[in-house]
Parts: sequence; structure tokens; C-alpha cells
Amino acid sequence: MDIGVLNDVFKEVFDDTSLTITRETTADNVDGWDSMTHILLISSIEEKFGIEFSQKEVIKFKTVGDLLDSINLKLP
Amino acid sequence: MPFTDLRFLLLFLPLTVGVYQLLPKRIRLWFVVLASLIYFWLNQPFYLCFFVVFILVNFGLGLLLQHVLQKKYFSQYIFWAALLFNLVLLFGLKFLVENSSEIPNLLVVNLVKSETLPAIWIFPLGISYLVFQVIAYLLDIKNEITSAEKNLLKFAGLLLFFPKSIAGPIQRYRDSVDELDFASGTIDRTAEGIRRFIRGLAKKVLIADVIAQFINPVFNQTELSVTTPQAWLVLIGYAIQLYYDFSGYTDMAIGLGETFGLRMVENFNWPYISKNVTEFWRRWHISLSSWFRDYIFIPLQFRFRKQKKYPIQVSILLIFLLTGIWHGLDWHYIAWGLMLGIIIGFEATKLGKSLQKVWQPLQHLWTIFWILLSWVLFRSPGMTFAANYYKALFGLQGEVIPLPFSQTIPFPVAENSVIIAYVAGIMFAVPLIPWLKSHINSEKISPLGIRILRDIGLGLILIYCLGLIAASGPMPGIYGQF
Repeated sequence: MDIGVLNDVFKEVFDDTSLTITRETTADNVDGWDSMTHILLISSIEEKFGIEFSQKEVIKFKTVGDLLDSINLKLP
Repeated sequence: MPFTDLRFLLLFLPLTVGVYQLLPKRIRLWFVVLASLIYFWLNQPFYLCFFVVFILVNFGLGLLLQHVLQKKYFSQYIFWAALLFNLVLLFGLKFLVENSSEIPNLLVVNLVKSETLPAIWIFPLGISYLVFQVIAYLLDIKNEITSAEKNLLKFAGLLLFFPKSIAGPIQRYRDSVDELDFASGTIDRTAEGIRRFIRGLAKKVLIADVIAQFINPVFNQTELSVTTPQAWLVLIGYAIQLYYDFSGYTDMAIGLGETFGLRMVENFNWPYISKNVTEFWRRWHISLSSWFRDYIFIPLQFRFRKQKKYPIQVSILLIFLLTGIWHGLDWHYIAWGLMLGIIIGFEATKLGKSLQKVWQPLQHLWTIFWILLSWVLFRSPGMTFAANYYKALFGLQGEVIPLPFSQTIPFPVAENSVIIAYVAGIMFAVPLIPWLKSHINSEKISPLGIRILRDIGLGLILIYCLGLIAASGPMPGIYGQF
């Protein structure tokens, strides 16, 4: 899966159609990406791709790249 | 011995900083641990053994947890047992201290008056901060974010490190692991640390303590009697005092950390410029609020993420209830926490979020209004007092008997120093200096000239603060009681 698909989930969760993410993007670069929206983002990703994260994984994500790698590992 | 005690400022501090700088790097860790133990002993000799046992037990628990991490169920048992040990210790002590008839008022059970009270009834210094640091450490081991520390001295150094022993910040092991040999304190870092320390001292002595003398008579009344303008003036004063007291203390702690080569976490980020209460709480006592976020809020939200019926407000309310309880097992702290929880919970609703679209000054007004009202509960000695204070704020109080210090109604006559402290307090609560700095640098003024002027200024401020303390005695930090 490439980053574009993930970008769409971000746009939806953060309600911002102009939002562009890169592998290096962190919570600091995205308006409204806080602890509340983080879990919302995670559950949207889980729902969209039919995967599941563990809590350990979720608290270790630092960049969008980490998140993307983890998703790709889980996708068949 | 708070940081504003002359014995600390003129003896303990210069001695420890001086010796530290002279020592070779490999024995600096030993020295920091020894100095911290001496600091604890000077403050509360009774509790020295308690702290040593606390460190040893948690050091062992960390190693054990790490060892059994692969055995899923066993590691769970160990973790919960460790957590229980620390929580029982914290709340057991809080309960014991607050329900003891020996203690007239928790607010006076502080370092200044400690000589007059039996040692056992004084709350062990900074235990709330220590317990939270240890819980973070154990959870980080359990979640494999960090490994258990194998060097007892480093573990003790981090937990006992005297600059943060009174009022934090809650310094996590995972943020400090690279500097735990306490070897990297250079002359430059020491100079920067001392500058930060003096700024913190000035915040505490010149602003917080001056305002405290003006507003304390109102909060110390047994029957509140205050006019409405006075009530607002005093409440604004308390908002300034609390910020400068606690952030000044944090500045002093962080500055000292620098001088001993440990970078500590920031605790404040201009809270009073926030546009909503949620943001305020992200900028206020950051080491505590981020602790609750990372170790309670996120796990809770994660667990309930698939239950559409589980509103985020439940987690928020719980977090702030716990924040209240952390400050003390008293109804007014619990009510304070719940009040914040309700406002922040509201701000997370659709209607609450729409507030972010209104005219900005109104957003600031919204924030300041609720924060001020929340400080009433925080500062009041009890619920009845708080209720009467709210009545006074909105003009619902009965007849007002003037306080001895207030010559005129509605405004009391304040000394010039108090007026200056109010004005400076409000001025420096917004990022004026960072703004000036970013503008001055581009001008033609020589940076060296500015640095020399700044250091002369800081030296004068230090002397003035020392003079004030010598004249009136030290006042302990507000957050030392938690």
C-alpha cells in the first residue's frame, strides 16, 4: 500500500482535504493530531484495512513512516 | 530546605555545584547521589530510610519485571503487584497525613514549619512525584519502550536527584537514560543553568511571594468577607501567584538539572495564552498532564476504541478526577478536577469544538474565565469557603466586613511592590521576551553586549532576591505539598 491511501484516511479523520503527509510527518506537523484524534486515527485505519494494532505498537509510532510500515506488515 | 532558603542558596548550592565541577566525570554520579541523600537528610531525616527502601524495592521490581517479560501472565502479576505497592504507599501516606488530628492544616505542614511538628506527620518530600516516575518506569518496561536500569546508582540518581525532589518535574526514565551518569555538566551548561535558576528565583520571590502576602489574608479568613471587586482582584492575584510560584520553582529545578548535566522536561509552555481549557491543560504542569495522557488516557481510549457508545468524556472525566485526587484526598481538589473534566469534556463535543471558530479574544476570555473559577476550588481550604467565594465573585455575598489591611472599599490599598508584581506578572505571562529576542537579534545591537547586560541584570536580581529573603524569610513552594 502506498502513502496516498493512508493520506485519504488522514484527510477524513482530520477533516482537512488539503492535508498532505509524508513518511517523516509527525503529530507536531498536523493540526489537531493529539492524543484524542490519535486513537480515532488508529481505529479508522483498523476499520479501513481490516487490521488490528496492539497497544504496544500504537504508543511506539513516532512518524507516519512507522505507521505505514506497521500497516504494510499486517496487510496480506 | 526549599530553594529559596538562604542556607540552600548560600551554602548547599555553591558547595555542590563547585565540588561537582571539580570532580572527574567518573565519580560525578556518586557525588550527585550523595548530595541528594544529604539534601533529603537535611529536610526530613526521619524519611531517609524510607526513601532508600523505596528506591531499592522499585529497582528490584524493575529488574524482576524485565526478567519475566516473556512470561505473559507472570509478568502481569509482577506488574500489578509493583503498581499496587506504589499506589498503596502514596495514598496510604496521603490518607495518614491528611486525617491526622496532629495536623492543624495541611497548608502549614511545610518545610518552614517542619521543626514544630513531629517528623512522622510531615508528608515525605515529593513522594507523589516519585511514585509517578516509578509507575511510568514500570509501564515503559512492561510496554518494552525501555529496559530496566541495571545500575542501582543511576536509578537512585534519577529518582533522588535533589533539584526535582520538592516539586518535580516528573522526569521519566526513558527521557533521561542517556544522561544518568551525570557526567556531562559543562561550564557552559552550568552558566545557562544558573541563569535559568535566577530567573526562576525572581519569578518566585519578586512576583509570587509578593502577591502571596497580599492575597493570603483573604484566603486565611475563617469566614470569608470580601467585596466583589476584591474577590476578582485576589483571584487574579492567585492565578499569577500559582503560575509564578510553580513555574519559578520548575525553572530553578531545570536550571539546577543543567548544572549537573541532566536535561529535564519542561513543565510550562505559556499556559495563560491558551485559547481553550484543553489547550491550557496541555501547557500547564506538562509533566503531570502528559503522564496522565500517556499512561491512562491513551490506554483507556485504545481499549474502548471499538465501542461506539463509549464517549471520550468518560476518559476525560476520569483523568481529571485522578488529577484532583493526586493533589490531595480533599473534596475541594476532587471538585476542582471534576470541574476541569466537565469543561474539557464539553470542549471535546461538537458544540465545544465550534467554540474554536468564534472571535479569538472571546476564546481567550472563555479560557481565563473557567481557569480563574477553577482556581477558587483549588485554593480554598474547603468546599464551604469555595462556595462563599463564588458568591462573592458574583455579588451574592452578604454584608462585607473590611479586612484589616484594606483601608478602602472596594479596592484595598496595596503597596507599590504588589502593584508592580501584578503588572509584571501579567506582562511576563505572555511570551513577550521570546518575541523581543526574535526581533532584537536581527537589529544591529551586538549580541555580546546584550549578553553582558543580561548577566549583570541577573546578578543584580539575585542580590535583590537574597536581600528580600534575608529580610522576610523563605516561603516554601505551593507544589511542595503534593
